[in-house]
Amino acid sequence: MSLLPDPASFRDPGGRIFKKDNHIFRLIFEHGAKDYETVRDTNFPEKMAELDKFIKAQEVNPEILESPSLKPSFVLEHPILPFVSYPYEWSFPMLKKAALLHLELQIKALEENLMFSDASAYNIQFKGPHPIFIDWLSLRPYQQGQIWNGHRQFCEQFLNPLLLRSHLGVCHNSWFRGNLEGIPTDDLNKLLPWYKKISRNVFLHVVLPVKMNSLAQNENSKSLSKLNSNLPKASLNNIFKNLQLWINKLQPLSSSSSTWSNYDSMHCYEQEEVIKKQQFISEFMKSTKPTTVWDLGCNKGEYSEIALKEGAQYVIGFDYDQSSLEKAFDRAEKNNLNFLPLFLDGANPSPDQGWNSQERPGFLRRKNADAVLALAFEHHLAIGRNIPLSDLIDWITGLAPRGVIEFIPKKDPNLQRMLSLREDIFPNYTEINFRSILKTKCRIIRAEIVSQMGRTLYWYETSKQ
Amino acid sequence: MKLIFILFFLFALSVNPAYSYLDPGAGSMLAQLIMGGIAGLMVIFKLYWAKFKSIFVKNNSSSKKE
Repeated sequence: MSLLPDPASFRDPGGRIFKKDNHIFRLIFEHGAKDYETVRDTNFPEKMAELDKFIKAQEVNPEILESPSLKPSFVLEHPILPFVSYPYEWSFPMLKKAALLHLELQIKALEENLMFSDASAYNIQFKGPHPIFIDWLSLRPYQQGQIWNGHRQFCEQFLNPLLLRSHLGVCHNSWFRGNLEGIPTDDLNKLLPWYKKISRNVFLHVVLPVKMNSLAQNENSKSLSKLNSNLPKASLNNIFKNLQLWINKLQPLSSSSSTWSNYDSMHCYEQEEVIKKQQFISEFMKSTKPTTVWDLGCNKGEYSEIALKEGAQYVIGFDYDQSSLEKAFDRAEKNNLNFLPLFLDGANPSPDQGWNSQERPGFLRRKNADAVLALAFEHHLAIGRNIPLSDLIDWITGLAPRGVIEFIPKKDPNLQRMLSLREDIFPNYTEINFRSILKTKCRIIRAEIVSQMGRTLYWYETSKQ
Repeated sequence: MKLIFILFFLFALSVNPAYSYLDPGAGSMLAQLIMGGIAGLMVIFKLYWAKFKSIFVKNNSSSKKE
């Protein structure tokens, strides 16, 4: 396979990411070579990689690329991450953790007279619950008196989405995904009521930049370029530290229970039925030993945790309910699990986005699961969003060559509640129909009824890989 | 308009803009200078406040002596 440039790595002329077979290379060109050497010789990136705050990197011989047309000054090889996710797929605590990592790295870097040239949230990825910084090239030597060039980007991609939730109670995911570059400060300023702008921090980072920007609009470009900055290092450090203190205290506005975070108490299982379900999943995991599991509708991560215990190496969880995602992330952190819970609306998954619609690949393009779990999930789409049963089963079984799908029958109390206020337009939504459709698309290895009301688990396998 | 010129004179030491492919945003730039300026002002203010308080301490001790 040939050396292909990464479609998201093109803005910095100093270097670019390329992929070849299963390897990731960062090519550093002449434009960025001198700064890279200076940064590398401080040993700071290496130290951060040892602390697992930077992704690891190894300098390799450019000849390894077998691409004579490219003449990089340096080539770094990075390990492949288990999964690539984007800030609009993260829950509030994940974005908060990423923001705090960025600030922590800025403060540490400044001690070595280094600065990050940007503050993109896409430069942070997650390994399970742990954020990790991936863009080695972002670091540059610090120049005395320089301002923080990444401040605007930091606000738009980290701070404002967090504030949208903490100050207004609105989740950032849909808005962030729509804009790709975050929440513009101008928009947030328009949304915040006056009494939320009295706070010093909101004033300095939301109101002030907007007011200063409109002042600057009226100036001609000549006088603007003459406006040289002199921000003392101590002041710059204070800006980082104050942001850190502030963001550390931010919490989602209404922490009151959501529809599905109370699911445990609402669910329709007796204790023995829970055990049956857990055993089914355990046996599936023990038998298939999947490398990567996608847990659709992971809720608080209970079954993701079981999957990891019983043989799965890595689980990506997907859910629509923010409160559940937050609790799932909490579980992953507390128990140090290889579990990454992400926001997903099954009926509207992340699309291909960005430049040339290739920069940020969508949900389906990042498919990498050996096994999929769809527990207490299908009815949300089949009944809740009117997705035809056959299309839905196609979609789920297309995500991985094997998995466990749970069918929720109409007499189940949860489904009764869903249908209570609407017309039942689902005459074909029956267990018999579900089973027969599933049979046409794959083999059913095992089926078991796990609840009194008739919830059924199906272990399926498709012949296609 | 006036504010830009005040800032320009207050922070007249020239520094070459550091490398970045990113547009920092003029508003963000100016806001940071003010944040830095506020910090500087706070230090000055604290110094003057300490001086101001010390005047009264001297007066008290001198009145006690009498």
